[in-house]
Amino acid sequence: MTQAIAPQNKAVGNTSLLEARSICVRERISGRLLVNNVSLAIEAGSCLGIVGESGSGKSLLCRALLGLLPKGLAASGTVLFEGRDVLSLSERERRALRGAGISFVAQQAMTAYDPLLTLGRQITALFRDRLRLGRNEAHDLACTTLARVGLEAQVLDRYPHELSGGQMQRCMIATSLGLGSRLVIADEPTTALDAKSQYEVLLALKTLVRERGTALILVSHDLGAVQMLAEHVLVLNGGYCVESGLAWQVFNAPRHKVTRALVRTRADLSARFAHHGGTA
Amino acid sequence: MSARGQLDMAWNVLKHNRPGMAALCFLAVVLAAGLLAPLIAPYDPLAVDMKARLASCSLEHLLGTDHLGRDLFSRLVYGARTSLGLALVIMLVTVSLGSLLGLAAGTFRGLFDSVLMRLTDMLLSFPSEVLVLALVGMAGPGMENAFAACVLARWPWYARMARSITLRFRDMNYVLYARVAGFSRTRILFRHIVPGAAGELSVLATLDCASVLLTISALSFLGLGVQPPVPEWGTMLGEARNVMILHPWQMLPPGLAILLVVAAFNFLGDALRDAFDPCFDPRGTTRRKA
Amino acid sequence: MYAFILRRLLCLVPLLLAISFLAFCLTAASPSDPAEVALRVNDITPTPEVIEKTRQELGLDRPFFERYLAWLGKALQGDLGTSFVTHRPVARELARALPSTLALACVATLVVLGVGIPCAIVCFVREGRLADILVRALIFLGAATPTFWAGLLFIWLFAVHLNLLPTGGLEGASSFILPACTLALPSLATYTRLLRAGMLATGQQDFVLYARAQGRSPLAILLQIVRNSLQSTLAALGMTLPKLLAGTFVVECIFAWPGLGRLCVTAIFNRDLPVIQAYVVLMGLFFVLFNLFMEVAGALVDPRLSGRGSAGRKGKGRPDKSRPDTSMEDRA
Repeated sequence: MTQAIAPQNKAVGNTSLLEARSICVRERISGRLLVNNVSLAIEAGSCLGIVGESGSGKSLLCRALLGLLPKGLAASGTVLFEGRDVLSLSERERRALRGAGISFVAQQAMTAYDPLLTLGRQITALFRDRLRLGRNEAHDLACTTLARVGLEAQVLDRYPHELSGGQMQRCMIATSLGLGSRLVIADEPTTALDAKSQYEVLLALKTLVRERGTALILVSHDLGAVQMLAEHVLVLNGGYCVESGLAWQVFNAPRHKVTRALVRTRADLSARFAHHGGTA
Repeated sequence: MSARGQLDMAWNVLKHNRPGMAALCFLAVVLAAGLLAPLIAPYDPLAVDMKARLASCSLEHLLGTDHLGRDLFSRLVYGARTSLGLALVIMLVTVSLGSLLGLAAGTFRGLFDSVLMRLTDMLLSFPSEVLVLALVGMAGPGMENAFAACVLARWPWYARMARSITLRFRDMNYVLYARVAGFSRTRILFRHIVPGAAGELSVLATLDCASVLLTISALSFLGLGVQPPVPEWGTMLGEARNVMILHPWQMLPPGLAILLVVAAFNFLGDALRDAFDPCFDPRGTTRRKA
Repeated sequence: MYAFILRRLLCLVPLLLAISFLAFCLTAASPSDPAEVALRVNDITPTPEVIEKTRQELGLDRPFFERYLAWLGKALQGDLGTSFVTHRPVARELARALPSTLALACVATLVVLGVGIPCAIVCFVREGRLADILVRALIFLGAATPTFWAGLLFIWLFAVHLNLLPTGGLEGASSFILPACTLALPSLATYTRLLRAGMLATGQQDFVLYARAQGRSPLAILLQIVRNSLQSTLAALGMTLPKLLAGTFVVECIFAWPGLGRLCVTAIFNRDLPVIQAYVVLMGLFFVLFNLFMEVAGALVDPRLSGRGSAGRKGKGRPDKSRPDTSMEDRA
């Protein structure tokens, strides 16, 4: 499992849970590269932040790691998860890996659940499906994991449209908790949320990493969120990885101009926020 | 983008849509054949020849003859004039009537608008087939009545559509700009709104051509529309039906003719929709932006 | 929910009045004098005196609105007048023909659903492959085939040539097959096409991606997609049913089906105005009621529309597990 070939980014221990080497995503027809030769690695219990502007290929990179690219796109490269190459697995094996191995927290919380079913039915169905639990066991597991992310069990009887984005986002985190995922990929989990919900979601993600030793890939253009959780950071721009390394190094001494711009914007915002009399 | 630019762009897209262009060419050929029927058809479509009844295909009679010895190919060609021509004229009248009323309602609003909209509400609460049947039923069988029934049953769709397009375009920047610049209302109507509305209306009208053709030929088939001996594809099918057990091939030419023309209209309608609405993906799969 | 239905029903009253008025106007505006028509169909020479007498019998000498109100009052009590030809009450004639038409339309609906849904699923699962292309070609063909021609071809192939099924009439279950398939053909094409597009669109939605990312079984995901697409095409299905019912007149004439459509077509040939009028009112009534029914069904299936949202949020404790859930389970 531990094949410590260091890619060009330095954020590699010798016990990487997930290691991706030179990932490329291209359009099948035109051959246009959307993600260009990105490598990354992450250990259990750690958090990797991926930052970049919208359209920089962050979401596509995530979906490539899951092996769930939209139709018409193809990924190349190697994604080693616990030593197995995800991209070369059969769809069946990949499905067994998803959820339990690598799970996903989607960007648009409001549309991430089937609008016609209660959350309880969807979450317990998933638990029963993946963990081979009985109806009651699955329900109990759902209740306990929801409690861990600060939600009441009543949420289970609600339909998606009756909940807020933050609650749904935490439901997804609870689902990942319940499935016992070893790696969670959170694609912009806080983007569509108000400040309070953002904070709650980040806390829930922190629980995930600290308590369960889950590895987390946090994709965001919100540097604050990444700063709060990530040890390592990868900066994407136009499909290329322009900078990577330890979070504090990257943020304190950004080398690439894109990173500098991102950090400066963030600094300006916090300065204004501090000026108006509040500390984050 | 100006309305005229939109039309040009749509034509450019349509030019490169092969099924669409093929359908358009096919329809043009059929229509031309119908219009030039006297030159193309080898026989008089009404000439009865009892000696050559129910002849099969031969060089003399390309598609054979019917139960009265009339040449089927000639009847088919003349039928294009009746069936396709009738459908096109009906749609022309319907679209002009409906969209003029709708444009007027949307432009001038007021009492006229509300009365017209209540009327369309009422007419649209019937399925168009029932309305056509009812109107033909009240007025009696016959081509003129079927014609009027088709127009009456369909104009409300166009009136509503034209009205809503007008209302939408009224608030668009370039139309607002024209109003600010002090152009008269009729000028705005014909310079800006009409070209803009043409796209959506033509898509619906093309698809509706197909259904009008089907309605007319169904009515004629039942004897409620075009009356024999006028050659019309539905009427021809109705006559073929009487001899279907011994001479089933008689059903093929008129049936296939209707099928092909309707399919061509559908193809063309889809192509037009793609041309006027570049965002609409015909396969229903819009690749999500990641 | 009941309040919702009641409110919608109340909204229908003016619409139904308008429809009945329209139907009445159609007869009144008919170019031929009903009295003369009534006489002619019974082979009575319409002399002025006889016409005058018949006009009085039919109440045509009274003012227009008075006639309308009288007709409406009778219609509400189920009296739709007397047929010019058979001299029997129109309501009874219609009542006799109605069941067979309804049965035909229902069977055709079943064909639309029973064939359309699996076809759409096949198209969705095998998108872009041979099966998808084949089904789509058939759909296209089905949409362009004139119903009456398809009916004739069916009769020739299955009844005359292969001698498997009856050519027409209503005798036993086997006589349903050909008319129902013929009637269903255009709607089947439309609905399958719509459902396929709906499923492809649903397949692109976030919840499908999320379910796949969590490793839900493909079958469960497919079920979710099907259910969501069915829900979003419910309105289209609601338009299909009255279209089937309205389309019966052609099919009934081809297959000698003893139903409403054939009754109406015969009445048109005989200039039997009361029957035509009653047919129009009945069809309008069906169309309106269907719309209401589909609206209610849509609200039952979709929790977002059933007004449960606000009620459920306020209620403390266990929220009511009433309609949306049970109806879901029936469908799953």
